[in-house]
Amino acid sequence: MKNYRIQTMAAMCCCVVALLRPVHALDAGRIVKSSAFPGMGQLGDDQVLKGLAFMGGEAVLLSLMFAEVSHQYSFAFDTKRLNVDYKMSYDYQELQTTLSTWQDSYDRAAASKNNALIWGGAAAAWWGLNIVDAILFPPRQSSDEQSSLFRQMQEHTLLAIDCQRLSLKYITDF
Amino acid sequence: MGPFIRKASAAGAVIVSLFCLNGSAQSLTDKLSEKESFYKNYGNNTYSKMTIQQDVIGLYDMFGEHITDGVFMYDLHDSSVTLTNEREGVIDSTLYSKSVEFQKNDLFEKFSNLVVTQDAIGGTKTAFMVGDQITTRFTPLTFNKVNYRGIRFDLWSTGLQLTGLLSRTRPGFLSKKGTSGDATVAYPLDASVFNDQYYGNVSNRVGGFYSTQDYSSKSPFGDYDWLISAHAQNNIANKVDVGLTYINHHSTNVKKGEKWIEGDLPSGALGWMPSEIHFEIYDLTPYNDDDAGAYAHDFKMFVNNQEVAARPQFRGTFRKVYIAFRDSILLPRDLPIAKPQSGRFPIIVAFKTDPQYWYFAQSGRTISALSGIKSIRFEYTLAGNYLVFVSTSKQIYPSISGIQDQNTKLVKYSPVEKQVSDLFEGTGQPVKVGTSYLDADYANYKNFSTTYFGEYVAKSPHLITPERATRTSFESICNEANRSASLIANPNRESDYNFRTYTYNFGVNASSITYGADFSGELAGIKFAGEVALNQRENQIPASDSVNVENRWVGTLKADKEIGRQWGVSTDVYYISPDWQTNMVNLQASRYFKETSIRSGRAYADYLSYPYPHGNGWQNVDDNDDNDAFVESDRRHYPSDLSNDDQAKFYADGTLQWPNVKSVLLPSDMWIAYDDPDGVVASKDDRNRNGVPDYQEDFLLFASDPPVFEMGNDLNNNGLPDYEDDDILPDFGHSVGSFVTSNGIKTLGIKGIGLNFRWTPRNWICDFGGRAEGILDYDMDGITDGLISDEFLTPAFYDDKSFVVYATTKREIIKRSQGIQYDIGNELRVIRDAIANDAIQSTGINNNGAYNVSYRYYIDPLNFRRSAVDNLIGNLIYNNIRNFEYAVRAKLGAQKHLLLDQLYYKKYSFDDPVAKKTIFVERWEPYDDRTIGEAYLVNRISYKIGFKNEYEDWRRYFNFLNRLEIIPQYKISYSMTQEIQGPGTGDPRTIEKLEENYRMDINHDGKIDSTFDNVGDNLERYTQARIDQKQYRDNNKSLLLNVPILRVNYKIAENTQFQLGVQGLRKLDFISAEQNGFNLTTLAQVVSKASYRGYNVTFFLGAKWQNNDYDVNAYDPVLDIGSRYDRKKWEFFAQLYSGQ
Repeated sequence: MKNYRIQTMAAMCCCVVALLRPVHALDAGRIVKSSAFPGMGQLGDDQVLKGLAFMGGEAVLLSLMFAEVSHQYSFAFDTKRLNVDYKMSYDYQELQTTLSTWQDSYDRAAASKNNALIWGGAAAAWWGLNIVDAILFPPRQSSDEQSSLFRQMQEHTLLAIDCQRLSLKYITDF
Repeated sequence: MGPFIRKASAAGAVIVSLFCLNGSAQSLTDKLSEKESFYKNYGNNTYSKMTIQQDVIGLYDMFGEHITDGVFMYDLHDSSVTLTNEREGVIDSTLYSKSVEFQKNDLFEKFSNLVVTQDAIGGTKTAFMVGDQITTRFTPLTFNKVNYRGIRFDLWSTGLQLTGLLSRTRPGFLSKKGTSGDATVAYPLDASVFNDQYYGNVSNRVGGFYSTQDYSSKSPFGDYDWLISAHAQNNIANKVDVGLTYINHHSTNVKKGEKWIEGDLPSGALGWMPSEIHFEIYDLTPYNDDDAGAYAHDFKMFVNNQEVAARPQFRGTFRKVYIAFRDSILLPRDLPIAKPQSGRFPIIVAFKTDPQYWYFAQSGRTISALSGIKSIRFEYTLAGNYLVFVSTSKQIYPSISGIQDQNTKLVKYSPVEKQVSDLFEGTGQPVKVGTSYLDADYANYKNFSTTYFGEYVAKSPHLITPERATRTSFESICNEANRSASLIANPNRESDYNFRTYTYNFGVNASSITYGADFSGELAGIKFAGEVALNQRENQIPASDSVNVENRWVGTLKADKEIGRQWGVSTDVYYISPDWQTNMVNLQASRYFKETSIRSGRAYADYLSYPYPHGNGWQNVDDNDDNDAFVESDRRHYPSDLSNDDQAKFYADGTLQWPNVKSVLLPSDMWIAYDDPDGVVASKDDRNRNGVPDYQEDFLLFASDPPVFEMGNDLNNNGLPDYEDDDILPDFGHSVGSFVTSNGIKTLGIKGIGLNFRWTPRNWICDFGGRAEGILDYDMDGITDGLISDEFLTPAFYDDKSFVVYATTKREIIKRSQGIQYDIGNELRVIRDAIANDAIQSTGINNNGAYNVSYRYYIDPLNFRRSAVDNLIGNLIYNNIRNFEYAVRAKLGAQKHLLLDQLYYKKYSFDDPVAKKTIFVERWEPYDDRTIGEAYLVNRISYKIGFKNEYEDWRRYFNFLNRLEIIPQYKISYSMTQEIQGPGTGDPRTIEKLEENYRMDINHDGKIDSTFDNVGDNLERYTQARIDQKQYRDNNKSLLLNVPILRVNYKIAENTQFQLGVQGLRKLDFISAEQNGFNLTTLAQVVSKASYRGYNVTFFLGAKWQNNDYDVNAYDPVLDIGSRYDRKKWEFFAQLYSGQ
């Protein structure tokens, strides 16, 4: 059990150290680029895979959202068209078929509206996450180029871990 | 027995063949050996691939000097023989006179119809050129031809430059492969001059003719046209270039002999003197039967400046008045006509010219012969909405009716005349053949030529709206009693309703002489250029050789002055007379008598067949907007590399026959030749020239956007980018006002002034200024109008004038260190535009490597009659990230249209999806108060993924990835136009309209049910719905395009690549949802490039998959939007391209 705790403590220490590793200064350009379009800031800092992931992910989510918006408008229009078809139907069978198609279009328009909101929300979240990433996770740099923000955070942060508890204190001067 | 005979025959044939072969082989061997042993040394003479070997004879000049051993290739000469016998009082100067142009086929085959001799002595150089397709330019307003045909002489020295031209512009002959021939004009006609068909057609066909026959090198009346021109230019004190121009284009004839710089027409009974002159008065709004039509009040004829009247026995014959009832019937009427003629059919007034029909009204005297007629003038009073055409009984025929006298060997022929009454009578029988009439059957009727040639001579200065006068109220106004009473009450009433008296002086254009001066240079820091020219057009009475002269002027001046480093001012003043042209007038066909001939089941417009008389379509200033080898509003000429297969498509004079001519349909419902085969103005948005704009085409759309991000791209406000404006007018450098008549246009002249100030501080370009223009000839009588006192014109300033004030600013920044390039600009324009700048649009497809183009007449919608426009445009490109590019383009725009409280006669052109042709619709419309907003946003990102693996261990197998390139791209664009305020804020396609549209296609076959039979109300409703939707869609758009693209390139070899592209295009139209859908396109191809035999060769092998998936399969048959089917398409291709 003791070994386990020691191992756990060591692992957690590694995580925290990794989290607080030296980074660039807060890079306004990177944030602006990422705000302009997801992945731009990361690509600008040679974080190619991450940048492409953000860019591609955003493209996919936006495409899905627009597809659903398109479906929503199209099926809503189709209900109008089918309404005309319904009036022009000449027998019961055709009436029933048209009515069934109308109901289907109506339902699909409503579903597409919901889906559009979901994919739109996901696209917005992905965009936001990309900006957060641009702020918090710039690429690794040498110590003499460390970020003053993170250096300050490191200097003023006290991390205490034992087998019973984990505490994190931030000390600042006023 | 039979088989034996066959075998014996075969054996015999073989033996004979062997003998023949032996003989042939022997002679061939001799020939080859002789040829091989015959020594040629090209050290002395330039090697020529095609040596002249056939028909070589010793050639000597007229002094007996040996010229060369060769062939006679080109000849242009006139010869006149005068025969006199004083004792018998006989003088015939032209019994054997003739004019000949000859070309031997060698001229084409060896020199492509162009021969140049050049020489120099001291500082002077000279060049003689004979041939076709000689680009010749004097000045923009006097002479500018890419296909000048004839003789040209150039002299060049350090100071003086001189060009002289001599051409027989009609009739002509051009040699082609294997064909020598001539265009001989002779009088009297000799059987050796013309072939049998030439004589026989008219008499056999009673007026019909075979326009499939080639008569382009013939002249039935013995007349022909000369062009004699010169342009000299010199530099004065190294400051100013001054040029002088003289152009003489005249008609002459072998009967009277050449006068060289004077025009002269064949006279007498065999000449051009007509027996009848007739006027056709059309309703200027032919598609509207409910507004004021055309009204003819009176027509008077004056001979030798004295009014003439019908002799008692010829009352009703001397002057005939008709109203057309149907296409085939004329109803006799009298003047003033009882009520205006509204709709398609004209009023026709025909006068006899022969003195036997009339006498001088005041003196009661007469003259005995046509030769006593020195002048013919008409005065006529019209009212309403009218368009007037004048023509004569001298119908234009490609052939004549001739009989050869066997004793004298001379051919006597009858002049070809056809009077209006020969074609139409009030009997219901339209076609008179001899003494009998044919049935008014449509097809029969069209078998007979009814084409008259003349010109349009008058038009209403303004249109009378239905608000001002309906058909019935105008009838009342035209009534003589009412008219007099209303005049007392309102003196302006006459001009309100276009009551005007016009004068027309009859004469056949015999010559056109132009004197011009041009200048350019720099004085006192002012750069300037301009020209002035005077054209004198002589119109002749053919019977007496009397002429009247019309003078026309043009003048242009451009000046530019730099003021300091950052300022500048430029100005531009121009005046171009109505109907300006330096060549002789080209006659037009009348709209009513324009009928066609049916041949082989296909209709051909007679007026497009050869020959055009007096001018032959010759224009001294081309319409050649794309400045290529093909003149737009002309027929094609021989290509210099004419193949054998193409020879039959051309007439003898080198122009293309009508069935092969590309043409365009005019709003006047007539066709004109528009024969530039490779399109006119290649859209820069369609670089691969497949008829689809690049911004709508798969994969290409990533880098292309619609032309909305450029400032000042439509300075004439006609709705087309200026770089795509292809007008139908000669290239005068200014868009001359014009009116579409029959088979062409009538230019109305223009005057204008422009002033521009510019300020160019660093990174800024600012322009502000204005331009005012006005049409010169409102009533189209060829004479510049004074200020027309008209309440509709003068105060309102909305007819045939334009005025624009503008201010544009643009800032361009390039920060290379940051990888940023951006520009932002704004344009503000206040516009009053009432000058229509119609254009021709070309669309085409690449079909097996050949570009097939078709033309469509585009009508300027005059959307900016009174308006203000502001556009804010910005572009940003960021490429400071390695392998990455980001581009944003944005536009915000606003338009304000201010109400004009009257109706305008507006024309629309639509592509009919069912009939697959252009249809024109005309109607009265208000100009409403509207506010329109525009927004456009394009985002585009692209990243290029490459690999640089240099492994040497087991991972070396992944080094192949270095040849791989992956390019993900993403484009998203949104365009929005919205009418914020105005009548078009609501979609006219309401649920009721939608239902109405669908009910027009009951059987759901995608076709309007009554389109084909033209019955019922559907056609009218169909047109109305399309116009409503067009108006709405012009000002209301909301379209989003979402386009992810993935491209992969893999280098197979150094110049061979495998390429894969996948594109998903989501189209989201918020207004017409039936167009929404997802198009998935996959393209895979292998591309190999190499240099082979001096050519760059590119080979493609691949396949393309397209999947067009509409969200819903709804098709609106009226608006032609949406689709009833989804579509999957697969294509395989192997293509080879080569270039220099």
